[in-house]
Amino acid sequence: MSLNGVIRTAGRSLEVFTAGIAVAGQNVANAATPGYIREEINLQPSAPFERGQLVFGTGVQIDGIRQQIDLFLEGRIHTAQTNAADAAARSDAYLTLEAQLNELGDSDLSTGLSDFLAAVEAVVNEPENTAVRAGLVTEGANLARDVATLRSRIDDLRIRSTTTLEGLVDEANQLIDEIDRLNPQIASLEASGLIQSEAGALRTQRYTALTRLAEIVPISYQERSDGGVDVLSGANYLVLGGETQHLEIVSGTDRGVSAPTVRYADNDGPLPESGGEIAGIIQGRDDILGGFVDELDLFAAGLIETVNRVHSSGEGTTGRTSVVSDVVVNDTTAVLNTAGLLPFTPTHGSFDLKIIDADTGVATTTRIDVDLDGIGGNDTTLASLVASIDAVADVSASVDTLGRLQITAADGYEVAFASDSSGVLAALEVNVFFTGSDSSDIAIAADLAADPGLLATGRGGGPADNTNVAALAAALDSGVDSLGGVTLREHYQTAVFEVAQESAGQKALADGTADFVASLESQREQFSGVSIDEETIEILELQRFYQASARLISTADELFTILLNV
Amino acid sequence: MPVSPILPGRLPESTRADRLLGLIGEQQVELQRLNEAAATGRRYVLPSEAPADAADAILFQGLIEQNARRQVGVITDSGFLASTENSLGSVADLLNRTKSILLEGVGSTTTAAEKEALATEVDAILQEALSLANGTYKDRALFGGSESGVVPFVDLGGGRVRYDGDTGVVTSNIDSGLRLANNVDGATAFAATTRPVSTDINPAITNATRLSDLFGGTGVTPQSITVTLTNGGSTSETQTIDLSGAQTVGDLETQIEAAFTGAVTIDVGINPAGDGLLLTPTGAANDIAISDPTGSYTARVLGIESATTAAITGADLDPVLTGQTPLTALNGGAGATFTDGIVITSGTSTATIDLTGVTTIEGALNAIEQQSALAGIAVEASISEAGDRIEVVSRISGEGFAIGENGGDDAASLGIRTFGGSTLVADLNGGRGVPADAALSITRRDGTTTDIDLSAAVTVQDVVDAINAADPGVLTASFNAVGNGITLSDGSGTGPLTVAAGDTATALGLENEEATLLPTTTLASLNGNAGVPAGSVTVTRTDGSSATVNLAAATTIQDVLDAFNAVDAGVLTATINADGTGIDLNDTSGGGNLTVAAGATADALGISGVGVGTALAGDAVTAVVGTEVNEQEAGGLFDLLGRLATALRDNDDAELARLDGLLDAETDRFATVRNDVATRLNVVRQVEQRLLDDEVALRLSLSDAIDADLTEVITRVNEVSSTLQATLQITASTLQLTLINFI
Repeated sequence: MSLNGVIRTAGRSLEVFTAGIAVAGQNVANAATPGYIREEINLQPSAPFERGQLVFGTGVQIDGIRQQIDLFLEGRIHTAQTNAADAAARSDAYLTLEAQLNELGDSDLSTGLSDFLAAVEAVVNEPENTAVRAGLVTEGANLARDVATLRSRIDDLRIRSTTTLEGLVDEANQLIDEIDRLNPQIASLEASGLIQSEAGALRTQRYTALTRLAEIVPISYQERSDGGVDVLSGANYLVLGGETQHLEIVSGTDRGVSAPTVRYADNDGPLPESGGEIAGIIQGRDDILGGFVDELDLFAAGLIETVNRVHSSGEGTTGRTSVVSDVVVNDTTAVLNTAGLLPFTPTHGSFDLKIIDADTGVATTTRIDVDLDGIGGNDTTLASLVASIDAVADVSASVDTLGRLQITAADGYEVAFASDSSGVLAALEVNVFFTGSDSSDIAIAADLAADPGLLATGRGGGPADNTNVAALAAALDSGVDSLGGVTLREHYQTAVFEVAQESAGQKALADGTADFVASLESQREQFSGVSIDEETIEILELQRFYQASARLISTADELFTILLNV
Repeated sequence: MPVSPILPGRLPESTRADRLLGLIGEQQVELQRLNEAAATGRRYVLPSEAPADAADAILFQGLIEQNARRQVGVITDSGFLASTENSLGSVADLLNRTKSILLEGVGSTTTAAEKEALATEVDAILQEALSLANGTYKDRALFGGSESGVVPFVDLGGGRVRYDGDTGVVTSNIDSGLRLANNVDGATAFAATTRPVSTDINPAITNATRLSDLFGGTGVTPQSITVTLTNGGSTSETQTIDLSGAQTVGDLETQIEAAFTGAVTIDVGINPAGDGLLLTPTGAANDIAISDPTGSYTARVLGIESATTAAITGADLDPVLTGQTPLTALNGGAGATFTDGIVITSGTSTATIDLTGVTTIEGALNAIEQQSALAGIAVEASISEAGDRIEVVSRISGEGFAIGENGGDDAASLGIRTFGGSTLVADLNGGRGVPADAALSITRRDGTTTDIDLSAAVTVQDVVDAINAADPGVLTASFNAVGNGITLSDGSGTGPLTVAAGDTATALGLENEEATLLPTTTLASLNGNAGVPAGSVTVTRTDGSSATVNLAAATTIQDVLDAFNAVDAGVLTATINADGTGIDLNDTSGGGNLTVAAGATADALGISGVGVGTALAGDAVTAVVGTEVNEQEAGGLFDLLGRLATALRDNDDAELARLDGLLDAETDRFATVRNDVATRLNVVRQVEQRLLDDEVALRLSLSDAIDADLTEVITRVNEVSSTLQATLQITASTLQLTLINFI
């Protein structure tokens, strides 16, 4: 090898070491950049040449600049992030629900129920006390309001999740577009590269986008030979070659509130039911919050039916001269136990209609049969019920233009009800305490709120007749068929316990998956993160190599000088 | 905190920083949680932070709230019962004072003036008792029952007091499974109403009978039955019928009959006794068998479980009376009509209750109460607690009360007649009964005397039977057709029928002589209350002509006289004979004999036969009609005070002696009422104390479940603070340490 060759070799080394320092400098510069993957310059000896029997090296050359990334670990991280985001969203839903229930505080629904029961017991003790009677009506209104307000707050949470969903869908679509945009750029930069890792910064951006996208929806990706990636979500593509598929919001309703879902825009397919923040939020909205709405509805329906069934067969201290049902029946010729006709389905039985002479207090009772045995083609409809009542002396019955049952006593008479074994009075909301059918519309009966004297505490006795309100207290303390035989309090407490248990489990799952993600990220950081010490050593090392190469040039130069001076 | 291992080899600053940051964050979160625990006193905020403890806490919170509810109830009950006990204590003092006055007033050593003074004092006690009985607490009339807003006891004057309350019980739930009344109604406390005299009127079942009303109100919850119909040959059909939706006997009929729609059918009805089902195969079927599917007992309970037979007659289902029970279903469905009415007497007032058009028990009860009220009689008519009878009681203390017939058997059919065969002789006359050696001496119409020994008679029916046995079919004893009492009639002759005066006759209300016919005498009371069948009488006049006198509308003797006198005014005349024992006819139209054709009506009026010339003397048609001897008395304090004042003013030592016994009995009864209230009050106070103890225990348990242990919290704060400080120091040190510092 000639001296010129040595100088050329050393000179190329200087370029290589300068590039190495540049790579180290890039690493140091991005030491604090989130998601940055450190780069490493790959060196290899230049190709040797042969002169005579000797083979000479030609120095060093750059093989490429490689990102230090563990692709297997990266895949695990994406899967874990998908699960963690899903679990976190569901845990958030539970925690939010728990906060709304505030069950350990003094303003929770359990306390409202206790206050209502206390008011019932107070009336049992002092049925003649008008203030105590009014107190029960007030507590009933409070309980109805508590139930309706809790339902409203949960509905509000569910509705607000739509905004979050919209934001996530927008973000996911932007990430899909970004990946699609980065793909050709990376391919272009690395087209002539040796190790397809030269477009480090762009790759880091793409990895960051993929990481965030994996949190939103479950994805898997495959890097193509040109450096681009194809991104799949389940069996659907998001980025494939130069094609992208966005997510889109699809409007819908669930349990009476707007509940949009998310689907793939091109093939209208649904997103996987689990995995990712979107699935977690939808599950939180529909299964967790919606599931509790179902429990709340069961509780409210049980409360309404239990109270109304007893109340409708009792009498207050104020006589009723007329009664108007709060339920609208659109088809007066439909059999009364037709599904969906009434909020609560009556059964075969009867009730007693009492017509009371207002002056003498003498009651004349007529049993009104409610034939719902399905035999003989003579089952009771609202029209036939009206006819049966209308046939009784000193009272008239009709259906008003809205489809509501109206019962009016003749002048000088009052109307009362008793012994309803069919539940038709409660179903039609005649002489009831609550109106409504579930947590969305439960309320105190308007006429009762206006006149607590209508509170049906007795069954035909004097003002201190507490037989009906005592029956109500007993019913509230007994199992409810529609709740599987447990009491109202037990049902609600069980629902709350389940929320607490599920929430605790979900939080543990969320914490676990988050820890797992953190663990994987720690591993990635340990592998791909920038170590200042390491980079410093690298720089010092390259500096020394640079100095050595420069010294080699200097030495060769000195040798040239000696040679020229010969 | 990340739990990933630190891999061998490189450890970038970013890794160290992230891990340290995570540690610091966790420690700060823990510190904040501890701070909140110290500030709120609770270990956790959300139930999910400690689900098991939170479940306990929520449970304990509910129990504490329930405990608080019951404490309020107990305090309320305690107030009512304490106030009631105070009033009853004062009334007990009045009873004692009454006893002293009564003892002072008995006998001849007390002058009339002194007795009058004592009576005045009794009047004052009555007013004092009224004041106590009308006492209120928290605006509730303590002794009004459910009628809390009325003045329960109204002074009617003359020693009479009316009770306007009811027997309502205000029962509250003061502890788990412990229900207790916080009131005593006035009827119970003061025995302010008469005790009901009634009999089981055994209603038959009807299609409208609710299954819940069967078996004395225990009810039946039907399940399934298996019915097999066969024709004795190859045709057979078996159906398992779900009867769980049946509410009434009619529903059973409908659902069982609807199960067979083919060749073999079934008819379900009421058995001949009216007390159970009757199932008869029809159509091609001629045999029936019924059994219970596994797990069901319905066929057995309904008494229709049977092997193959021609028809199944169900067992007695024993329904209770309800307001809707039809009157036709009473007494096993005997189909009694209620067209005569009943007579209710209270003191000097009498009400004739017209039950015409009444079809149900409720209608009968309403009619009795309302029509009595119109006559100034206060009664309470209701169905007994056992549901097998009607009870009609007087609300008025201080006067007698009775329910009798009005010419028919309506009162007996309703089971409410206060005097009948089952009435104990010992109970007559306010408990004085009849003399131990009771005997009657009856002077018959034929002039003979019949003595009847009644010393062995226990019931009034024994008395009636003994009289009827003396001369069967001739000397008869029966119950008064109108009102109450025993009626004697005699067909032995035409003379007067007389019961000799004596203690027994007086005790049985038979001291009266045979009644004299008066124009106002009702036809129903004639012939020993057998009455006079409605109809016409055919008269062959002395001029040979014939006249028909229509007496269908006649109800009194005057009506009969008027009917005859209207035929030929002044010529054909009818008058009551001089003895007042019959009707004499006289016809001056001709010279023949006046003749009245025999017939049910004429015979009953005693005027059938051939007269002597123009005159026809009727036979005796009257009888000895006994008076009421079983008036019901309330027997309570007000009743006794009223009677005591009267007895003192009347100087009636016999009555005073009777009242002495009654007062002792009432004092004993009243003591049980007081004791009952005191016991309840004691129970309430015990429950109150237990609830207070329970509250302490529950709050302790709640504290264990939710409260933070401040010592532990503070210790942990120090511990975490130290750890955090160390972590911060280490973080600061290690993150500063790089190779660059040494270049």
